[in-house]
Amino acid sequence: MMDITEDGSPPPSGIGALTMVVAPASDHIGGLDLQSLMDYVSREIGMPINLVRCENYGEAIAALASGAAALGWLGPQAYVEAAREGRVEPFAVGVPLGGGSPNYQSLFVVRDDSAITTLAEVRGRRIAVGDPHSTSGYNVPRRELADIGIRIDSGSDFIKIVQASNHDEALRMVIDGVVDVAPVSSVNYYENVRTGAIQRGQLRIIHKSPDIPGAPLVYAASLAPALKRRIKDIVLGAHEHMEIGGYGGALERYVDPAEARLKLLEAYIRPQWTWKTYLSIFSLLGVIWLVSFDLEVDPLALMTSAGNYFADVIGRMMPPDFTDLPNLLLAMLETVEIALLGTVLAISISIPVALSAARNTAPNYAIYLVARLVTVFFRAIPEFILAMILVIAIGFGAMPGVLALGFHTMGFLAKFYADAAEDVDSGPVDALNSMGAPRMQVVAFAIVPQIIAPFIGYNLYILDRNIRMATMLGIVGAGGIGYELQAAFRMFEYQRVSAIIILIFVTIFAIDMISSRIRAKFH
Amino acid sequence: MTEPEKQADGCQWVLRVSDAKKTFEDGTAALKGVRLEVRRGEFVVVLGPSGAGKTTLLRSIIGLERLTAGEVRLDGAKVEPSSLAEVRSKVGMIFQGFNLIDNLSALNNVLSGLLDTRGNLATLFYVFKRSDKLRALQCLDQVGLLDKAYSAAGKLSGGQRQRVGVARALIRQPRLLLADEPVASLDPMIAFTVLSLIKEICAKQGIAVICNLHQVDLALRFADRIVGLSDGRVLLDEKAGAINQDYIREIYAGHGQGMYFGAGDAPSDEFVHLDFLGSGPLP
Ligand SMILES: Nc1ncnc2c1ncn2[C@@H]1O[C@H](COP(=O)(O)OP(=O)(O)O)[C@@H](O)[C@H]1O
Ligand SMILES: [Mg+2]
Repeated sequence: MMDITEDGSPPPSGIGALTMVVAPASDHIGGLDLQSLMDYVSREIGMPINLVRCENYGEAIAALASGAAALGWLGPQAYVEAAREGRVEPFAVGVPLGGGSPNYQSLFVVRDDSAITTLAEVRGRRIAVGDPHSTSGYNVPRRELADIGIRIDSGSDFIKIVQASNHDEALRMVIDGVVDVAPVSSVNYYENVRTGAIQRGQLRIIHKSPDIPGAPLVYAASLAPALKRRIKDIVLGAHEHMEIGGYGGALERYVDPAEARLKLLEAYIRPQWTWKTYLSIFSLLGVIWLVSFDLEVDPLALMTSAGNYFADVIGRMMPPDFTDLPNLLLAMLETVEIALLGTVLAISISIPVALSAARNTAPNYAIYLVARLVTVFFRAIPEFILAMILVIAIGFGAMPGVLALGFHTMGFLAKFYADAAEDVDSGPVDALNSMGAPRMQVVAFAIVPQIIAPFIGYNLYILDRNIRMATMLGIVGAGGIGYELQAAFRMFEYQRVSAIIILIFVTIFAIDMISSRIRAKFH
Repeated sequence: MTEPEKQADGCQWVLRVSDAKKTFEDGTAALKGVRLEVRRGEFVVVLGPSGAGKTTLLRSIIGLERLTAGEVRLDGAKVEPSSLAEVRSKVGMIFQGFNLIDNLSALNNVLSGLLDTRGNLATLFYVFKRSDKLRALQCLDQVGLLDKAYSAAGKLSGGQRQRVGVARALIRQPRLLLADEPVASLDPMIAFTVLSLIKEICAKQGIAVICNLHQVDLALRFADRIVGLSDGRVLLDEKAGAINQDYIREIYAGHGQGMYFGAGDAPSDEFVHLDFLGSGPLP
């Protein structure tokens, strides 16, 4: 094919004639495609242009690099390689008829009667791929398949891999049933549909790649600058004078590579938020409005008439009455003690339960299920109810409070720990397992150190929460400051109520300060 | 703004660091009088073992550390608290640990490089102008990741993530790119690709680069100029073409711990203490 370089003699480029090399993308390149355009350019510059079709991409690149060819069309992949080495410069990109954009895609096509419907199903089939330099016939499809774990360059993922010499041949192979699937350029595909070479209902597209930049016409970097400019101007204006062709068939026109680049980038613009996001937001607002309507919640009423009562209540709570402070402090202390003991109880029960409720530490699936059920069960029963039952069963005092808090929050802690244990990095676990460490030691060495920080954090949160809950438990007779609070309300001693509230606030604030210090130590 | 070309000495310095000294509160002297000049489009590698002061030098350039003495001038303007915003708008930075936001798309990570001048309500909801998006996509294309624009950064491979990091620096159209050990957490093959990419793009766009490295082979391969740092002092400042490994090894004789001279070529004193007490049975 490349007779001009076979004898190694320098080419006639730039003197009497120019050579244009064409990489093997389509088998109707020639008559339909670049020939008429080059005839036109040749007439305009007054110099013959020989159109040479190469057997492969490497041959075309070599001809441009050596200067044997002045012009060329390489396909995108080979173009990028040659351009990075500074050997060629792009000057025009073809826009297919009706497309409006010089970009194209790689299409995976199957016969319409094929059972294959998704890209994943091509595994284990027969495939026709293009030249390894081909973008839409090889490189893009390879990347698309690699993303779902299928390798085009290994024999094991396909029963047969055929290399087609161009896209049209690949299409024919699919039609003739020689292969099950082939990735081809959308330009070739639609051109074949347009010319009737592919009948309606014969083939089906199962996958479309993202946009690929259309390959430019290039000139050799060594070409004279004046000639470069002249040729570019002629090609960009050619569509006004004639029907032009190019890669894949008839073209609308040629555009400057800069314009083509903009078109490519534009093809990748997507809105940050789609209508789905807006729909979800509006639906949520709608639901909130409906729920408020159903509950007869009226924010306006709260601000006007109810506001007056509110001011009245607050007024009666002022100033706080601290006269009985020693007794209140004792009750507060009892509440903190109940919470503390309840939390310790929760922690000690939740550790074994959590180890059984995490998939990676549970001895077996049955125990895992039971443990998860236990955690859900105790979370589901409010401590309030637990405390009421326990007060009936074992009488008034701190004991029912401690037990109610302990078991209820055990349900939370066990779930937290188990989730944290499931999220640990499994690398250290594998390492210790591979060295034969016993199961509990694996937990102690590879899991506990990884979850110690969230472990401390959860415990402190539960303690904080239990103090607040313990104040309420007093109301059902389970001891502590809650009892005093309820009594004060019953006697309409609102100034005492506000004193108790302040006391609770100060206590929780103090606990919060202490716990953030403890937490900081473990980070 | 002073045009660098028009400075009194007539040179095209993008950056001048003169007599930079930095002593930390705990008394550690990290920089003990460093002089560094970088021209437009120049790729300068600051080479030195761990603890040499490379990071401190970069941090001082963008004002993350205040120098104890000496000064840094970028495009002729002195780096000081009042000029920080102006200085930082001209600088792009690439980090060893990539410092990407893993849960955001590659595109939004790149767009985050524009936030200093896009501090409006829309960007609070990740909404950017079309022209900004096009610019970000172009930067991603430059680093070969256009097709990953909408992939979460955390899902990309190490080399791809650092390329997103490069794109995030490029979108700022910086005069100066600072890279602190940009390839230290990448394998040698990928490290090579990423550095090639940085070098190629910056050369094309005339962006000056200061790249901290501890690998001598990479420094010799990519630097226009190598500035050798050790213990807070400049040991060497030469055109990369004029020097070789042996020369560097000689200069660093006695300071070489923590320098990587290339595969199979670790400095021998690194290993002296190995097996110091022998491997015989214990009593
Ligand atoms: N914030 C700091 N406070 C005290 N010493 C520091 C601080 N940052 C760095 N150093 C010390 O300064 C020296 C130089 O550190 P650095 O600039 O990080 O070196 P390099 O980046 O070359 O490894 C080291 O001895 C380091 O321990
Ligand atoms: Mg450092």
